[in-house]
Amino acid sequence: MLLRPNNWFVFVTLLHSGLLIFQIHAVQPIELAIFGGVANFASILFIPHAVRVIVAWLLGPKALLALVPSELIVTFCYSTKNIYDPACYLIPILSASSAVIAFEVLKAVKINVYPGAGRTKEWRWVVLAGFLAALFISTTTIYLNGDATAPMSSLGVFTRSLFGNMTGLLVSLLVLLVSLKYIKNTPQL
Amino acid sequence: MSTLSHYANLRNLLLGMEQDLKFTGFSDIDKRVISALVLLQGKDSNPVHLNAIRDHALTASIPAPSLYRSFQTLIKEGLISKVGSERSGQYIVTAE
Repeated sequence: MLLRPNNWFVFVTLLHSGLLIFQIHAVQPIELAIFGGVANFASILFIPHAVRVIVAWLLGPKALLALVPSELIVTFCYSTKNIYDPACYLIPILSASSAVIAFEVLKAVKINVYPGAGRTKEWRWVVLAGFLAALFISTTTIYLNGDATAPMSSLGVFTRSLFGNMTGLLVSLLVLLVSLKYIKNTPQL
Repeated sequence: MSTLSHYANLRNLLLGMEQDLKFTGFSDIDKRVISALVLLQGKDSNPVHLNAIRDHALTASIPAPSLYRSFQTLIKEGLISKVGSERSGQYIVTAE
């Protein structure tokens, strides 16, 4: 599937939506069982952040065409928020755009991290962009959620969200690394 | 940019990560060669001749160039060493 040309849009949309749904149905219930209600506000292992960062790195702003609709669809299917609340639209749009924004901000300050820019140790720059994106999401989500996070301090939600996005990115990169290594060593693949 | 180049870029990114994290493991061929050497060497740590390695079940299917490349990798990593002259064709496991 990876080698077929021009199928990135469908692939990214399905992967991003699938991981968001996996997060809601698999990761969140485990976190709720371990940490209680605090897991409703921010996860300590937010895997979809990895998709946003890697796809934004590979595709650039074009990635928004797949990331934003999938984020909006999943949010509308699962959100308990009032649909007339602007935050209901803004949070998913900004979350999906965060990685693209981070890469474009870095590019604007003459740090082009996109593939082919000739940087060594590319993964460190990608993780840095992922960190900036996580910082952006954590800040904007807390601001837009307003009192919704009241049972927990804003700083607590912010720290948890930042940590969760970064662990999601790093764990996913490691899983990808191990998976591709395994495939490489399997002759029939 | 094609999907193939996205894949190539991703592999390149992960390679850098692999090297930085010292995650570079041995290939399947390297693992099979060292395993065959350990088994053939036995408890007495006798040097093993190249022909014996070639005939071992674990390494019999490995093409000769890959086998020689694997010897070089394992020698470079200090896991095995060559015994005798350059053309002796005898190897010994040096790793504990």
